[in-house]
Formats: sequence, C-alpha cells, structure tokens
Amino acid sequence: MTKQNVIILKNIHVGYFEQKIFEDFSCEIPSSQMVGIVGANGSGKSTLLKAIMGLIPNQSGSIEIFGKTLQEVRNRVAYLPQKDSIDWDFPASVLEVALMGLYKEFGLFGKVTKQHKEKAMLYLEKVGMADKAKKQISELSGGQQQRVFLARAFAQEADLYLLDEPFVGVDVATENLLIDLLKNLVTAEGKTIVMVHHQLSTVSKYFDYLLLLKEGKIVKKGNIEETFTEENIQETYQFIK
Amino acid sequence: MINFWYVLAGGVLLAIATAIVGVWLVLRKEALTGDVVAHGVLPGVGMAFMLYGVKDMMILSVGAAISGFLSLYAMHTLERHTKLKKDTIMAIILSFFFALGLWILVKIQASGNSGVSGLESFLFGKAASILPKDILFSLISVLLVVFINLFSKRWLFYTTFDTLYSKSVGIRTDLANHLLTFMCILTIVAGLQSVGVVLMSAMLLTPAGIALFLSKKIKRQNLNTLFILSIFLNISVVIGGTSLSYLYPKTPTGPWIVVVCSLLALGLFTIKNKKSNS
Repeated sequence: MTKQNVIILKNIHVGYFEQKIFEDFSCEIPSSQMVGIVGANGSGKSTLLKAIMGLIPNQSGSIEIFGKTLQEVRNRVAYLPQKDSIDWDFPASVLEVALMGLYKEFGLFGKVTKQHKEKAMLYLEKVGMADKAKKQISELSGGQQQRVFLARAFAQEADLYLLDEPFVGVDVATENLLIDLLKNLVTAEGKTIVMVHHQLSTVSKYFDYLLLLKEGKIVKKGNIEETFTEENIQETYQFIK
Repeated sequence: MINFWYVLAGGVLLAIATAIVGVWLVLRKEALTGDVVAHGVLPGVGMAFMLYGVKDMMILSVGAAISGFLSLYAMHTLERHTKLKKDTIMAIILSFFFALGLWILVKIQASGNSGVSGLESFLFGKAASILPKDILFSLISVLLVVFINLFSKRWLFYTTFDTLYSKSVGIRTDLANHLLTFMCILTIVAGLQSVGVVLMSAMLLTPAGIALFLSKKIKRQNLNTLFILSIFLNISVVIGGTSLSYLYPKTPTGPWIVVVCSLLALGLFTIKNKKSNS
C-alpha cells in the first residue's frame, strides 16, 4: 500500500546570494514514517528543511505540506534547528525553553498559565529533564540541551517533525532514549519525523525511508532496504574504491 | 540647586530607558548597533534644525528618528548585498553619518542663526542646560520604552534566543528588530541633550554589560534580574556622576557619568577576576 505524501516539493529553486543549492528540485516525503536525510557536508540537507519551513525563500516552484501551504498548516509542523544556530548564552531557564513549544497556545502576548507550565513539565519529564527545569539552559551539557530542545519540539504536539541533526553532542544512552520517543510518535500516533542525520552506522536502525542527497540533488530515495546500499552510499559520499 | 534636581531627574529617567535597551542590545550581541544609531541620528538633528530653524526637541527628534532608521537601513542593506563583515559595515556607516552630521552642524553654525546656540551640545551632551520640557520628553520616552518592553518581552526573548525556531512558528523576527530599533532611537533622542551622541553607547552598554557579568557570577541569570540590575547600576552611576559634576563646578555631567560607570565596570571585572584566579 502506498502511503500518502506529507510533503511535496515541486521544482523549487533555493539558494544563498548567488549560490544556488537547489535548482528545479522536486521530491515527496511519505507520511507516518521515520524519514532520514543523509548526505555529505554541503549537500543541502539543512537547507532542504529550512526551505520546507520557509526560512529560506523559495524563488520558484511550490512546497505543499499536508496538501496545503505552510502558512495554513504551520501549527501542525515542529522544527528543531541545528544546535549552532541557538544563542546558548541567553539567560533562559530549561522550563522557559520547553514552554516555547506551547507558543501556539499563548502566542506573543497571552498569559502563561499554571496548566501551560504543567504541560511543559510533562514533556521535560518525558526526556528526563524535569529535575533540571529551573536550571539555566547554558549550564547544561550538550546532550541535556538537546533533550530540552526535543521536549520543546514534543510540546508543539505537531503531526510533522523536521529535526536538523538532533543527536549532535548527545551520548549513546540519551540518543537511545530520544530515538525510542521519536519512533513511538510514528508507530503509536502516526506522526512523521524527517531528520537530518550524520551517523551512517545507525541509519538502518532508525529510519524507514531514506533520502540520499548530493550537491542539491537526490541520489536515491525510497524504503530503507532499497536505498541504504553500499553502492548508493558510495555515490552519495563520492567514496573512491 | 533646582538645576541639580532637573539634571538628576533627567539623568535617572534616561538611566532607566538606556538600561532596558542596553540589556537587549548586549543579549542580541548588537552592542555596536547602539553606537551606529547614536551617531546616525546626528545628520537628522541637523537637517531638522536647518528646515525649521528652531531647537525644538520634538522636531529634532523626528529628524533624529528618520536619520537613525536610515543608518540602520543602510547597514542592513550593505549586510544583505555585500560580503563585508558586519563590524566593517558598522564602522563605515557610523563614521559616514557622524561626519555628515558634523558637516551639517558646522554649516548651521556658520549661518549665524540666533537659535543655533546649544546645538553642539548634542555631540558631547550638556546636562546643565536641561529644561523641564526636556524632562517631560524624557519621561514620555521612558514610559514608552518601559511599556514596549513589558509588551514585547516574550517577542524579543524568543527572537533573540532562537531566531530560526521563532520564524518556524510564525513569529515576525523582522518586526521584533524594528521594535528594538524604535526603542533604541527613542532612548538616544531622549539622551541627546544630557549625554550626547558620542557618549551614548557607554550609557547604553556598560551597565547592561556589568549586569550580565554580575548575574552570571551570582548565578541568577534571568531577564528580570538583568533588567533590575542594569537599571539599579545605571541610576547609581547617574546619581554619582551628577553629584560629582555638582561638587566640581564647571565639569560636565555626561562625561562624569560615563567615567564613573566605566570605572565601576573595570573595578568589578578586576575584583571578580582576581577572586576567581586566586
């Protein structure tokens, strides 16, 4: 049975300044799967997520999410940016960061209630960070920071999660905990996870569907069994035999 | 003595506004932006005077605001369309606007207009010439800055801390930038008379820098602590600086405030560093 596509990109053109990353790029991402995006540095993995989220303007072509524009379904999408785009020195507590995930409930000017805080605490508990709620985000280790950020993403209660390298600087135990939580979202709740991932050793264990990118083009896409082959990986990373 | 209280009242009001705006500038790592705007307002002040021929704070403020916005617009445009580093762009814009402002002020002074006296005080400030209507203007500016800060704290927090996430949930990060720019210009215009454009950035940034440093040391890092510390420090140095200029007649208040503030910063940094090294 073919699954419905959750994201459809048609002939998009995306780039920074005069440098084009994607030219006439099209692709579909199926729903209710763990989707991995893999490729060498500069292949356009993060840019692809940013383009989907409208963070880099798409010069032509179209991007559909759940058959609609991003603007119409923004509340159903959660995005976790790359770690280095965040100002870790900012004086924010762990609870305040988790609360950001409930933005759609209180907006910019609404009151943050006790219920909001309880809900944020619930998600912090899920990632094992509830006891650190009052700590400053800057005081945490890299792995703990990523846990909090995933708690924030979970708090968004989205249907589609776009995660840009969520396991950078995370220890193995934390990674196992987080991947279990993510897989549970897919299997138990039918959510879709699209994740940029670097560790080739865990690809076959984590993902159902794979998108192999090279210099802004798709090398291969499809079910993990068909795509994650020695030959495709070599082509993606230009390994010399 | 009445003049002393005027100067003090104006100074304290300005201290509150600069402390709040300064915290955001420091947190957003845009300290130099405050300096660019401070220098950027000068041509606008000159042009407004040229057009209307009177030294009315309201009119001069409009000119200052337009010119301040233009300086930032020029900065952002260069940032988008060139590959020059941000500090280089800032230095270029800052010196260009300052030079343009000086040129206009000199031109005005050469024109022999009777209302011209005191315009030069916008460069280095002249707190002693503060009038009740200037204090009223400062009061309005401070109230506006405090209100905008209360109203947009979450907005500025989210966009400063995680810009990409903010954009992804639909928060307008560009408007947050404009809001901060507006607060910045409002504060700078309020301080034109007493501190002047050259020393303004010290009042904006030094107390905020000290507050950030202290809050880390006392492990009480949150936005409210930062604002309170920054306001408290800024008011203290204003009281100190104003009193010193009163005790030593014919010495300027603005520079006194900045010197006191900088010495306090140096002292604290040194003591704290010595303690942590020993």
